[in-house]
Amino acid sequence: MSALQLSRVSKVYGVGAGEVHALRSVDLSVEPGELVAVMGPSGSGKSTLLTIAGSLEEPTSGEVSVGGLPLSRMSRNERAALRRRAIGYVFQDFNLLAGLTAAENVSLPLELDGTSIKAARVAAVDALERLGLADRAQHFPDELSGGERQRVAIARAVVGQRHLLLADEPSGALDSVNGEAVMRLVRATCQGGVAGVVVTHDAQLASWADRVVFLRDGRIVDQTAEPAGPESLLEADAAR
Amino acid sequence: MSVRHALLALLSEGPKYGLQMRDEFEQQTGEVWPLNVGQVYTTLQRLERDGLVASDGEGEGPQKSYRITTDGAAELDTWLRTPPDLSAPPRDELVIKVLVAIRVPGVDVHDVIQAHRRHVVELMQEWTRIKRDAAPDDLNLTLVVDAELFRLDSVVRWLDAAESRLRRSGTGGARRQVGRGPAKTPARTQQEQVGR
Amino acid sequence: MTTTLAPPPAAPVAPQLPRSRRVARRAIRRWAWRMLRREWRQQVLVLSLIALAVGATTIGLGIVVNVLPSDQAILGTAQTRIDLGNPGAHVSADISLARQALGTVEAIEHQAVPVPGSVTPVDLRAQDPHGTFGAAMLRVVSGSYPRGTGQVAMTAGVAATFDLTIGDRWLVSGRALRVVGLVENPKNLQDAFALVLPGQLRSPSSLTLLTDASGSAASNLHLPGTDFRGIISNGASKAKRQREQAVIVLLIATVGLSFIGLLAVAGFSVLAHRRQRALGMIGAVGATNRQVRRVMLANGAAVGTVGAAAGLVTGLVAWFALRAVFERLVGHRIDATSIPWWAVITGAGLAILMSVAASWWPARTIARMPIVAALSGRPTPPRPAHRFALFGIVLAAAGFALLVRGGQRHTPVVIVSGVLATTAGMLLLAPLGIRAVAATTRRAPIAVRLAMRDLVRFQARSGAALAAAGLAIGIAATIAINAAASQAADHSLSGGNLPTNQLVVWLDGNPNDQGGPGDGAVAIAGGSGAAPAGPSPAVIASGRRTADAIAQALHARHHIQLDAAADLHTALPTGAPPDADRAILLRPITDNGRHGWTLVTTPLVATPAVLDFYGIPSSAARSNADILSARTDLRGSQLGTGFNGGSAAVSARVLNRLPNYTSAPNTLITEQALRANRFTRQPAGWLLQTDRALTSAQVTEARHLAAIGGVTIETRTAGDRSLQKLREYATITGLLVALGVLAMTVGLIRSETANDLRTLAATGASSGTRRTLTAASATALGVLGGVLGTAGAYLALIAWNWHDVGYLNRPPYVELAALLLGLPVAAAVGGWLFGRTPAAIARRPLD
Repeated sequence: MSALQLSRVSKVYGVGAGEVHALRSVDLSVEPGELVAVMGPSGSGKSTLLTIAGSLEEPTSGEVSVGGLPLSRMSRNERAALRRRAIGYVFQDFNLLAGLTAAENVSLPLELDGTSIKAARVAAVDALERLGLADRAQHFPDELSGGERQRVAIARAVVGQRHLLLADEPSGALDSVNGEAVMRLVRATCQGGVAGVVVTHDAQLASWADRVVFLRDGRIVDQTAEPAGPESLLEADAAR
Repeated sequence: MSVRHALLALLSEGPKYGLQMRDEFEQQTGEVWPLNVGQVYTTLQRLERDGLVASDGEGEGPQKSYRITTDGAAELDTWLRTPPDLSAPPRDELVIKVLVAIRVPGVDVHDVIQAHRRHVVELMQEWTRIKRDAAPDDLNLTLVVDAELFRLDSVVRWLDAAESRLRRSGTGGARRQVGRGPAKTPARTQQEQVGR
Repeated sequence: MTTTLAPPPAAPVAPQLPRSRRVARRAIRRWAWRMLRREWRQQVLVLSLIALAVGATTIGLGIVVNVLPSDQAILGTAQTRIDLGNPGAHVSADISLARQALGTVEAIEHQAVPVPGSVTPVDLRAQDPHGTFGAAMLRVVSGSYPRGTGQVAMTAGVAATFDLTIGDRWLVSGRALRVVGLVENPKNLQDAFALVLPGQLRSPSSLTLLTDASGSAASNLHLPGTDFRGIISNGASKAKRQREQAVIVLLIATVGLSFIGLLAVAGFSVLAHRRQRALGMIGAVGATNRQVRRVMLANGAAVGTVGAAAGLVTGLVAWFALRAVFERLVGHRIDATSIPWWAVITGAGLAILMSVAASWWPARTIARMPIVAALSGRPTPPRPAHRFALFGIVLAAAGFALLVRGGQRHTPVVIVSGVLATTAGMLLLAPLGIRAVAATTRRAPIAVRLAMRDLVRFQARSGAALAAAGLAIGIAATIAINAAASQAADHSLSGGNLPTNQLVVWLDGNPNDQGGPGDGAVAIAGGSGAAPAGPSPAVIASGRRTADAIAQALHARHHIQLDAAADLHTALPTGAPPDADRAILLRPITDNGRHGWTLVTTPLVATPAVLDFYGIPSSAARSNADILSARTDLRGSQLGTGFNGGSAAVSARVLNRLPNYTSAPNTLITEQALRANRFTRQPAGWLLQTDRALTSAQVTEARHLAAIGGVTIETRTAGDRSLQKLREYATITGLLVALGVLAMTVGLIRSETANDLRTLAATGASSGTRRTLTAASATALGVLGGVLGTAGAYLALIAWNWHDVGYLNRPPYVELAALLLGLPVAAAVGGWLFGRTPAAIARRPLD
């Protein structure tokens, strides 16, 4: 059972002459523990793909299943519950609620879900600790650096028992080393069994994924082959 | 690529044997660039001929140890500070392939570009995997892999830019029509997915 | 770095940890509270708007309930008041008779004490200060009540008139009374009287009986030998008045609450927009629609509660603090607790509910918005304005119809629906107005265009802000228009005796003063006797000199002589008053089989000076009419004199230019009628007019001069001068409130343009451009609010006065100009002054 399954998903914005096809019959499945990068230029529909996968938007046609459960058969509240319990989101810039501390931001989905405050707090601090932010737990977002904010956002996206992590240009405005740190975290999260989808136009970030899917004009046009072992690269290089 | 200067750099730390130098070289470059012993000795001989290193000990082979001379140290210092030649004209194979693909009838240049892009990204994935698996304190390896990644990244970017320019100018031979059945690649994607 | 995340569960919605809704609620509440703290500036603005509206409503309700004089001013705590004239010597017999018939009866004896130089006598009362019913009509200001023979207490006005202070001796009708205290009638501060203990008056001129018996029982009372004057009962009139008052309270409360509602909608739309991204974020994290909505509702409830409480407290404090001012204005003491508590408390409670309701709509909009759209901070695409406008027109029309009906029937439900429909109609018409203004600025400079485009783009909040500003202006306009109309109505219908800036020097008292304004007094039936008499030339000359002196003292601009007509050819009957030969208008009446005459009015002569003063062409005087008058009720009256009654039917011509004051020359007899009836012109007095309203000091000075000169003066009786002041205050307050609301709404919207201002600054816009941006939105809201508000006010008032639209034919040009021009200018200046760039341009705050 795929952690995420998109079947012939299309999304059309607007009507008539102003009609824009953001996605055209996209098929994609992501397995637990797999990290998939969706690469494409601006306007290729990659953000739309992510929001649809994350139940933030509904597709015009096609079906999205998370953990084998089709979203179209869920009510709005059930989808909200899914976002609280199963789906973690990391956005490019606007990520944290300004009024809450780092720890509170992280524990928010758990608390929204009704987990006891104590348990939620423990889980949040734990998640922050794993991301090296234990000493930042009580800071407010505007007291954190860009890299730290993004790490808090990842902590929030993985806190609890998530199995789908969706990230939209997660290293957005960060420099390459900070961006890499973010991707390492995403990668590590996926190795723990979470299915990850990262949307980016940056090949270096995409190369952290197990599989890179190329999106053009709302259509998946290509994807990378199964990974080869590192030795092969060295051999190939040496042979050149 | 200068094995010469790499060996000079190793000798700047103190006298070393040839075999030892090969091991250290590989270790420092994160085992990315394999080096055979013969290459090491040939280079050392040339350095000795130019008076940049001096050998002590007898005969050929592993028993001979080398040390850097004053001239050698000066040469190393000059080399470190000399900018590499970045002004060479582009005779990149990839560039030529894309330029040719534009002119050859019946070839979709976008497919060509995507094929290269996929290949480069796959390469990058492999480099990244190496970086991922490297020990966190292995700075040398990380730097070398980063260099590779940035180089490959620039290729991907060039491909992106090329594709974007081609789109804008409307060229591209048998350009894929949006909305029609795509050629081979998406079909392959679907097959693979089914396989999973 | 490695993670130790557990493998995912089999089903995504399987419960992992014990859950409780309480925790979720707490998390949401905590976040809402933090947001509240972060956005305190905006919240404080919304809060102040609500507080302002609640406070204004509280004070408005307090004034409305207390503005009308209480029945207690004349009834005390009694049910019925009986006034008897000429009690003569048998006062005590009358009182005991009344006691037998009616039970407990409190008697108050009156004696009129003439005031030198004034037509108005002072009422000397013999009354028990602690009487069963009358105590409520008395209050000691300083000193004490009279305790024994020869002691007197008086009102401050009377003391000033006779130049007395406590401890002085007052010579009145041959007796010396010692002044022991200053008193007042707390229910009517205009009541001028002096107070002695019962039984102190030797010859009372009238008698008042206060009793708890019903009015009908009182009318069955027969006291021999007394002139029957009248019965006032605390019955039907009170119920009717209370009903009227309740209707006004309801009106004010409804308008106030609509106002609060609109302000809350405006405020919360802005806040919701501000939080749009954060709410989208919280939705993306998995908050349900309900939780998102609840954040906004909690906010609304919190701000509404604090705002309503603050407004209530501020309103009450202001009410207590300004009570003295209000007392002066309404002319009676106000019990601090006599606020319509139920209305005020209900109003504050409803204000909280309205805040919650007002936050509900934007909350719903945001909760329903796709999360992606909310996250991107895009405004919801404005709905087509014309659909709203159509609905708005329908609502406004319905409101109009309801108000027409409500104005006639005073049915509470109809009135409330009418006000609400009109207000809602305005709210819906607002976006159309914004579009219209935006359309006119297509070629304006970039800052103006940007400001207008934002107003259109964020239609929900700008529309609500506009409607709120419009309603504030509408309230101010309603007060101003109504004040002007009722002032004009005062002048034309019951305008009192004289305008505030006129004074009449009467040679021999006001000829119309026998029976109050224009009606009632029975003409004295005649016999025969003495020779005709008029004022001697010496008296006339002395009077003229006095009038000249007074005119000089008052810097009077106009000074005309008023002539009366008199029949000097017929001999006066013996015992007839000296002015019985005056030409008067009478109307025949029949009372219990006795034929008699009732006095209509005493006309003055239409001299060229009088005609000229009122701008009447002399041709009007040469017409065939006998009488020229502003009155329309002269049909059937006859011209005659006091001693021989009417003799000839008159032809009267109505001239609107003539004044409608009872003591001003409102009815004139033409020269032709003089000749035809062989009447002679006689100087009766002089009319003086100053530029400004006469002050009490001027009146006192004039009265002294008059007393020396042996004439009397008449000025406007003080009564409704203060009501006029009240209207002025209300108009000014309305203007200020409108300005305040406008400033706050502009401030609220401006805080939203902070990002634009930042970008503009970054692109090199001068501070002038940035100020223009703010000023332009302020001006647009000011202009539109002014137009909408004034139009709405006229719509409502026309509807309310549908049966008499002519009532509104005197618009208050100055106030309306202030609203329509002054407000936008003030808003523009304010916007310009305060439209500075926010301090931190570089740092874009997390929102």
